[in-house]
Amino acid sequence: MTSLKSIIRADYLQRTRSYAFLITLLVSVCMAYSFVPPAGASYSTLRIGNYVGENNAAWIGHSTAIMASTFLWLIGFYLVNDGIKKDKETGVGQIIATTSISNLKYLLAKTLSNFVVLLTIAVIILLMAFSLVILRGRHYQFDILQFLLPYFFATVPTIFIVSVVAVFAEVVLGRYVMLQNVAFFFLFPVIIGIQGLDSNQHPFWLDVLGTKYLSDEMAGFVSTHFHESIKTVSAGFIFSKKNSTQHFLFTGTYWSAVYILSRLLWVSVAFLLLYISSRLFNRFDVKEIVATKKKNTNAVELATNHPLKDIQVTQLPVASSAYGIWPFVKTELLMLIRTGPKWFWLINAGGFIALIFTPLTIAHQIVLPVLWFLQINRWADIATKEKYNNTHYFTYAAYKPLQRLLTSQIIAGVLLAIAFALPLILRYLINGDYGTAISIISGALCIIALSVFTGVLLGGKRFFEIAFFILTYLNVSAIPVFDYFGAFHYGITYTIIIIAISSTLLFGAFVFRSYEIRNQ
Amino acid sequence: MRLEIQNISKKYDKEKYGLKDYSISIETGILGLLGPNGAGKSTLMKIIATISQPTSGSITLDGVDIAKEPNAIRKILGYLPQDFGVYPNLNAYEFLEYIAAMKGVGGSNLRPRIEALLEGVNLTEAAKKPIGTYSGGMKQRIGIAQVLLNNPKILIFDEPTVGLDPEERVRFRNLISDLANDCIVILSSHIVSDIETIADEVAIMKKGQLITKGLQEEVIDTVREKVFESIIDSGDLAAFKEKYLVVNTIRKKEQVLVRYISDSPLNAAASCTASLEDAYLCLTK
Repeated sequence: MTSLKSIIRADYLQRTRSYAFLITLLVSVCMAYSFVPPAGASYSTLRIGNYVGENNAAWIGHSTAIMASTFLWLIGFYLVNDGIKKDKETGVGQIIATTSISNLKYLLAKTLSNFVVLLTIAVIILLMAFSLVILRGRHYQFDILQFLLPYFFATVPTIFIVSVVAVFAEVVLGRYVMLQNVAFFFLFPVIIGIQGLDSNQHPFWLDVLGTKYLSDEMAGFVSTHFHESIKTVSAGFIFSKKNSTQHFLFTGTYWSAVYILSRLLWVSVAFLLLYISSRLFNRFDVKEIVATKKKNTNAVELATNHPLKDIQVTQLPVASSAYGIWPFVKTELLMLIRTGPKWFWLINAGGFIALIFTPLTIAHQIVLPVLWFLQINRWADIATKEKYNNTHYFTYAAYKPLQRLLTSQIIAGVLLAIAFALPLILRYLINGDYGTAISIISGALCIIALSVFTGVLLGGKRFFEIAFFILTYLNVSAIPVFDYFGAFHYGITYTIIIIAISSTLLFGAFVFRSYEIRNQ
Repeated sequence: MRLEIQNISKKYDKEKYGLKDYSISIETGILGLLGPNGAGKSTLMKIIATISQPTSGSITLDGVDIAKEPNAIRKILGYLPQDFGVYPNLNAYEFLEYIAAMKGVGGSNLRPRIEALLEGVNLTEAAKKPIGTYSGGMKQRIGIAQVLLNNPKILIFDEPTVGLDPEERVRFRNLISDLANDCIVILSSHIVSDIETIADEVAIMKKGQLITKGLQEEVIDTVREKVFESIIDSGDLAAFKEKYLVVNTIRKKEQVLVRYISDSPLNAAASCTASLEDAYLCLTK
């Protein structure tokens, strides 16, 4: 038990002592604040037909718990799915592999560490929700159970399940990070889709997030009190006309034993998944190590058979000066193209073809953002690979590293992003819609600017991965909170705004990288 | 060519200094940097290589302040860091072309130069394989090749012989000697014999400060006539170590041959020729 606690503690501290986590917490605070719209706001986060609850403890507890469950399922996976990978990369895994800790215990420790990280965010959301009850719902009676229990039964099991799913994905698809990201991306709509199913035909216990029962209860409450048959419960950031919204006083949910058992069932399924993971986990991929050793054996043979020769420095051909950036752009492009497994290009080819043949609106609103999202590891690598590969000693000592190297990295990224979007751009150009074609190009610039800025500022990929996932998901779901590629907004003004945002991000990246270069 | 470092400090936090009020003047030739872990060798090298900025003090190359104008040195710099990495998806050619672009080197002779360097570091056969498949020694040789891509006038080698076998270390030392004719070469190593064999001058560092700098003989002079060998019982070794600065021990059954530095040796002690290692251990004790 002590060793389990020690592993969880060390893992938790290692993950949370980073700027990226701090920023995630800040974002969580902002999100939590936005979960409870003030009176007169133009949006709501939970809507039962045309009804929205008064801001009492029960309503705020339920609505923020539903939003927290969805939000933490959405970003939680991306936030924690690198615990085992980190152990592998740092070599700690090989030490762990030689200890007596069982696979199940190790993976349980990783799961609980994931869980504690996500629980920290959930607690922050809960505290913010509590503050908002005090601030906005002080006129109502404070029903602490109806405030806390939605978190207890919906959010907490959800984050435990996503913690296990992250461990499972790492065990099963350990080497294929891109595949993990993509698989989870497509899993999310399935889970959300289940919530939208008719409750009479599809029982609530199919819902892994545990929020369907809560929303069904709320819909039932409204139906009973207003004698209406309401089946539509919308969660998310819903914009609507103020005068079309009616308010009601929600008193809470009846916590049925079946619901509680359903949550226990999902937690049990998670434990089963964890057990399966422990059976599949081969303690830091023995096969992979053997494969690497095989490769290295050839290399070592080469090294042993051909040692360092005498180098006659004075007889080396004299190379001339060349301060252009195209050799960089070429190599940066090469590295971007070679990121990830080769077979993944078949999927990219599919996306490319879809951009040619699907209707223009679908190609622009769905295929393009998904195709760009599939390249998430390439974009995330652009400004982080130096630190990741320890080549920053070379790159930061380069001649004019900012003006030449960082610029080349950005150019290479934008060129590749444009190349992925090329069929769509050409279709718009052929149709004479130059403005939309330019907005796609500005979208390519924007996503590269975001990856470079977050990569330089935070030194890691995680924040970008989460932000890009959320952006893509929202855009594909036709919630254009930030329509960076002009799928829903038209006009030169909008494109100029996107270019201005991108330029600001790039300027920030140059400033931070300049500081970084001189302060190793 | 003259690299002048004056009163440089690198402060990491309130208490912790990487370098403290460090001054040294370096001219053409090989300067060997010796010091225990945490002495500040790598910090000094990073500052000279312009990837770290001093908190205070100045560093000039022939009068040009390289803290303010780092590009002045970058064009003529060859730097082999201690823990450098590579891009695993590139092969040796591609990686060296990339580094050459960083150094501002190109033209029609670049490819022949890379080929000659790969031949020199004996990686021609493996040159088209991804560097991710290379062994540690091969990566170290790629590191050596990248140093020589431009015609560097300032060469900085941080623990360069790690991963090289004894024969390769000899060849590498020869290479450095060749390079030193008209260049400044700064070399750090934990292996005193590497420095002893090739360095014209030696600088010994400890806790971010320069303890001494001079020609090898001058450094060795600090312990000349003070190095002795005695045979003692194994059981007396612990007490002996408390009294004398022991630099080496060789166990011989129940007894131990100890090499130590002292002004007042044991009666039966044999006087020994002082070495750079003796001086280093004495100065950094």
